[in-house]
Amino acid sequence: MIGFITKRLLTAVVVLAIVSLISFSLMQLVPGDPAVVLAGVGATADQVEAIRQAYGLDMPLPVQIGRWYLGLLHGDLGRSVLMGSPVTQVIAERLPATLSLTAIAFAISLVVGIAGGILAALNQDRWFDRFVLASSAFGLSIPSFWLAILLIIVFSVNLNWLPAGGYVPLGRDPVGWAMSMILPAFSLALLQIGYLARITRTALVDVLSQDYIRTAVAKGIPHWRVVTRHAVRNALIPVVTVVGIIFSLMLSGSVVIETVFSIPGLGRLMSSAIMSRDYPVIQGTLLVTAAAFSLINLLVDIIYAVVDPRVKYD
Amino acid sequence: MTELADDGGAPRFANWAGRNWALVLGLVMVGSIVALALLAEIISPASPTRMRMAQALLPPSGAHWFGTDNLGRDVASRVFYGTRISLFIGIATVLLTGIAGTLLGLVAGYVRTLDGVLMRIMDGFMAFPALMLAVAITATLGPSSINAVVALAAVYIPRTARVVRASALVVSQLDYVESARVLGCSESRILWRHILPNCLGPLIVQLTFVFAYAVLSEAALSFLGMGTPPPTPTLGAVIAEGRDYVREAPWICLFPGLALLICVLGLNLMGDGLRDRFDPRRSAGEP
Repeated sequence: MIGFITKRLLTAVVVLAIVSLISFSLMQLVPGDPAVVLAGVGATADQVEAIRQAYGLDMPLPVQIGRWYLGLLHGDLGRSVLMGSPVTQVIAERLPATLSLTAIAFAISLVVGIAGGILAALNQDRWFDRFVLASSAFGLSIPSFWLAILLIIVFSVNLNWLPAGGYVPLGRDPVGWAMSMILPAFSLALLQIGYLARITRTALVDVLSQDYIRTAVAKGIPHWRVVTRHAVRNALIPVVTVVGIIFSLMLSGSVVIETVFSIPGLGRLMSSAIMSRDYPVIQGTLLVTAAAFSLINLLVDIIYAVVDPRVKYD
Repeated sequence: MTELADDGGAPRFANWAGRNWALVLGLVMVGSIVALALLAEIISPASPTRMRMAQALLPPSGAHWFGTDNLGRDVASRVFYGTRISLFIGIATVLLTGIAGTLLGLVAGYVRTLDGVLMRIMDGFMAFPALMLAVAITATLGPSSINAVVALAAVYIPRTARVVRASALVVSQLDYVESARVLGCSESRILWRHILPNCLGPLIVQLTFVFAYAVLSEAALSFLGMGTPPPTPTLGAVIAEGRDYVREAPWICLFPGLALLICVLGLNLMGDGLRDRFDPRRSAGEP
């Protein structure tokens, strides 16, 4: 157990080091002189030179990489070109909106996806099962930004029930916060609902065909008890392992959904930083989301190893 | 003889596909989008880029099946031509991902000394949320079709390499590989002639899903202004342009999205159907 956790921790450190190297390398992909791009259109030669020195672009590449890692160890991701403030501060300001959105979308996908998957497995090959499988195929195929626009047309433009965009902080107005989150959270959740329903269904169908389920039924345990106490518990193990993927999918979706609904979160920060060529912000956002994903996967794996002692590190 | 061969072939395909409704339905849906893309010049009612301000924001009619946009361009024509970009970027991404992912996966799965290094680098790429990485790469390289393909390949190569590696690991432990080695086959012959063919099933399934996600992600990139630049019509860009007119002209957004949905759903269904054939033990592909 200790051995597994140590090895898993070491791998996480290595992957994080690679992740930060990839984020760093992004700047090297800029066609032409990064300092000119960072300084923006119409900058004078002096301004370009000032940018070059401020961002250390005049130094040799190994020194730049060294400075980047040294900065990371001090929690320093550089400064935003556009806003002038530290990237960490810019990201921290955008975090609450993204956390609200992903938390609600996560709750919706867990409840609807797992319930749909369980009901589908219990009605295997009947119409409800086919209905769940068909809707999950739809959920995996609908462009989320298109769905978001359709929802705005129906619920904001025509029915006028919900706001078409904007974000109200939870602390200021809880009702307004909830109202502003319904449409974006649902648009964001649909993909994960389809994914979770499929995984839950497959796992539960698999568990229900196991010998110990037949034994439990043969002992005379009521059907619902066999399902809740014996089957579903075991079927949820594969579901736990995809929590990290679900989180990563939602961050991907947040780039378009936050743009459609004008929510000031990490996704919108990313898309606006791209429009203004604010590379330190792009690098920082990439790095922070990838690090969060790696951390969640690390926790999931450790919890998994603690819960299921058969897990070995390969 | 030709007739005989055709007669023999048709029922066999019917048998093969008949019980696999997902595959057949998927093929029909993708086939219809491919037909739209190939026949775009013939079936389009108008030029996709010609602006006629006098005919702006017209609802769907006999002359303009999907209506017109704010600049008086025919939405149907823009959708038909837009499917070309979606399919082109999808196919190019599948080719690039297939070649690079297969090479990396085979090497990682067969050459044990390189496995650790290669897979940690793949893990590094896979740690980024897919669309964020693709957006960041296209933004850095500059918005264009080729750069979108490069960015999407960077997202899907690691995932594909992982699938190929997993099959290569299993196959390389099988007895017939050992037999081939005893018979004196070279390592490269074992890799290409004995291991690769047995990894193809899961690879084809994976690439069908990569096609679906690539079409979906390309639409998202174009929607954010990071895809093929105007005036070329792309489905994502048409939806983005229609966003400001959802009140007076919802059809601008509606039809390109439907085309996307049919294409991606068809590819996903094909992937499900192929998986039932080739790779029945795998459950759900990671979106």
